[in-house]
Amino acid sequence: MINYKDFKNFIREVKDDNIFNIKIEICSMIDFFDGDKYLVQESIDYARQNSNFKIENHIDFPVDIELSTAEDYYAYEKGLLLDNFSQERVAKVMELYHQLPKLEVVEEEKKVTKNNTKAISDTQIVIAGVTILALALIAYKCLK
Amino acid sequence: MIGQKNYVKIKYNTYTYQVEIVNDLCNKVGSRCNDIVNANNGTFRIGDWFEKFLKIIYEDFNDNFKIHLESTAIDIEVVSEIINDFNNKGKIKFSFESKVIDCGNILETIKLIIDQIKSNKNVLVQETLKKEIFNSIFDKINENDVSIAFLATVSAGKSTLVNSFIGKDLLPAKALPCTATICEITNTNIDFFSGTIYDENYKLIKEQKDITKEFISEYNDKANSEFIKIHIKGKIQNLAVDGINLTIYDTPGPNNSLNEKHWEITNLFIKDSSKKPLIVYLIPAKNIGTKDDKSIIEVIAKEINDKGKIAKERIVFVLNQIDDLNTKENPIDQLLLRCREYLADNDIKNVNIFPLSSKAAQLALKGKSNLDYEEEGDFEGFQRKFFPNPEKEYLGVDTIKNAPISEKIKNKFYEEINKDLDSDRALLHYSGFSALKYYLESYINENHKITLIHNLIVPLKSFLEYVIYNNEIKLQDSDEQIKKQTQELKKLGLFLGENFETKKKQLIDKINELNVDQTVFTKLRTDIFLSFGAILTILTSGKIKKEDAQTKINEAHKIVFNTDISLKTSIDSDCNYYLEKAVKEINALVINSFNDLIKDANLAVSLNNFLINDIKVGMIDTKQFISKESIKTTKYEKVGEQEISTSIWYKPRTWYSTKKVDIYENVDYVVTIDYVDGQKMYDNHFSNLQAKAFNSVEDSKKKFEEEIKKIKENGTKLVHKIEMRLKEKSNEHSKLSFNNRKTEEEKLKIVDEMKILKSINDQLLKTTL
Repeated sequence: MINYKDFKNFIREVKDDNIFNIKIEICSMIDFFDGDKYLVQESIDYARQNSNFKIENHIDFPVDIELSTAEDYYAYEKGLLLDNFSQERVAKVMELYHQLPKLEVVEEEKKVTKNNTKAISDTQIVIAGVTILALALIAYKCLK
Repeated sequence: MIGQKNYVKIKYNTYTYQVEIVNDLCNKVGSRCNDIVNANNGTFRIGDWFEKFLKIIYEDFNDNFKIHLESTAIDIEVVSEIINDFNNKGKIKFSFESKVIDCGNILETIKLIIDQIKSNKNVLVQETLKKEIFNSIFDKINENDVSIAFLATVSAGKSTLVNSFIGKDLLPAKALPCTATICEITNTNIDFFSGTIYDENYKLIKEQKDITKEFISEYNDKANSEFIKIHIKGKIQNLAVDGINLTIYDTPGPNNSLNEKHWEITNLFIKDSSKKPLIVYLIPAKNIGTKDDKSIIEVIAKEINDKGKIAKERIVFVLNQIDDLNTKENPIDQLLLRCREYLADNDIKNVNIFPLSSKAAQLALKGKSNLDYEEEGDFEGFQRKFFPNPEKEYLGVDTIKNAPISEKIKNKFYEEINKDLDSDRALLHYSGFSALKYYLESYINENHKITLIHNLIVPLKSFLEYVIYNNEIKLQDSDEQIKKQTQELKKLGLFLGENFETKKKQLIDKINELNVDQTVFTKLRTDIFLSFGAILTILTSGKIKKEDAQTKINEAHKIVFNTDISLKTSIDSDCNYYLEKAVKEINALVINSFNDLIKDANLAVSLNNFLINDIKVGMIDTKQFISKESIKTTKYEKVGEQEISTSIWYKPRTWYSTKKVDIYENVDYVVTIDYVDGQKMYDNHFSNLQAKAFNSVEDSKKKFEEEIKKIKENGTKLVHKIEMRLKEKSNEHSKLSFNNRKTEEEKLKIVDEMKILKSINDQLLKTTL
């Protein structure tokens, strides 16, 4: 299970106290943590404790651009997080994350699984070949 | 039935942007109606605010309504279109009537007036020219460049069309892809064409007078291997707008472009809504959509969908080579329909498409009498193909009917054709060239030329009124007149002392509270998150195949590159637009506030008018607020190549073998394993790229905010400057002297000079009425 410690850049940005880049990193982590509240909160807490990063007071921005899909709303709200990192907005972004269609991920997973299988098979063929050769050599020596 | 009360009569000046509601409609409807007129009067063009005006009438009045407009034909058409669009959407109907005001060749008159002013010997005229910044403003009459960029897929007949516009067979036009570099052709009055070749760093490589097609071909071929820019100067014979410096750009077919710089320049043309270059995108009728560069089409689609009507007018499509098709199998309307469907599939809808044959146009422009035997045959072939023949029940190819221009102009073309069917002009009209030429020239006239005239006429009017008033004051030196002037100026001084501080504070607060649109950045951030989001979806799924990983890295680089291009082009131009708008709004706020203030002082009419003009003169240089340095960002660059091991443990021959792969900044990406961990790939590579894209946007945003801050500070400075001018004026009462009167001779001289100045002013007033 990954957590914020796996994100070297995040740790570096926290160390460098680069607030803007910390926000960008947390935005990406939401995707990697699959919208897991605990893991996201853990990274926010780490940033707060180790840099000047703060949870800001919520500001309501009027929606000033045209948005149609769930992805649009999610990306838009993430963009606003960079200006106003409030608890309310983090919650909203997480909520929007869970509304995203997951179809693409499933397809990709299938693809990866398929590829994995193929890769393992290649290795197995080689190992099997080597084993047969070794066994044949032993059998030959024994028979001799 | 529309009664008198449901009627509004508007007078709008196309060049000064001044608007007057002739009847008292606004008082009946309410203050919102007045507010919108006052906020835009003299500052914004009617096309920018008229829809809002209609909405207010619609909301407040809620009844059928008649609009009467007195203006130039250009703005009558603009308003008429807005009303039609509104009627199609709304429940209540606006009827429309108009009176056309013809201003003649106004730019020529302005040039004449400026020359007269510059050579005028009146002391005050020369002093004012020197003291204020009028000279530099008036010189702008010579700085009015407009660009037209021709873009096309490979072999769409682009060079043939450009040759038709310049009126000389200069650019190489072959059946194969032939434009390898950007060729810039600037209109001059010289009869021959001169060429200059520059390298990537704009260093001169070669210069030649009276160039030929061979000269261009030679350097065009060289451009296949290195970046070369060809600059040609000569007379563009078949496209001209008085007073406008025209430059045509022949760009390489996007999918023929080898250099990243071409892509950047092409993007700049498409996205620059500030300078409004015209884009002519050619699609070959034989291969609709088969060879187009999707990335260019995507950029065009985005621009059109983001900017709407403004971009649709600026970017036109040409369905070229319609002569190549069998008209029975592919009638022109079906071809156009296919072209529309293709564009709609790419999210480009309701755009202007001109059917055209650049080959037919080229021959028609050359003239039948100048053609060789073979060309003459082609000419006659085109005539047979395009012209209808009722006897043979042949409909021909009616490009005129299908061109997106007004019916009035179409009828004019048909009339000319009917006069002499065998003429060169008849074929030219049928080739579709005349319609495109008319469209391009009208666009430049309606957009670039009006802006130029506006930027000259406003200071010109203020200048003349200022010097005339000051000269008149010099003549008024009787005891009684001096006494009266002294009293009025003292009254002004007193008024400023009593009332000014509170009003000044209110005005400065308003300037600081002015809200400047920053949605461009919100949109760009959203776009970046969307683009990276698509990659993150893949990365978060776990392990990724090596090849897919490399594709995703390339995609990420493209996002950063596109962000950079956007910041240099569309965002830069949008920012300039909003900054200019902010300056205009602050200027309007200041001038309206001071006008109200001066009215409250209840001064004599002549002093009142003088002060209003004096404020205008004092405000003229405020247009220089926007810093010349545009918003720029750093460019992302590939770092280099890296040797990696390609050894496979069970293949001894591959041991110690290596291969070269591209590497980028901060890449710690091992390609020797078959699968890459998504999270690690993000951390090692994408995280930095993403941060880079967002930081570029953030830098631009900060610079934009700094510019806004500067504009607001300058707005405050302007208030103080006008305050000083008014106070100086009020203190002049101490300088008015009974002992410093002009001699009769001096007075006669001023009277004579005044006659000239007044006649110049009358000339200007007549032109702008």
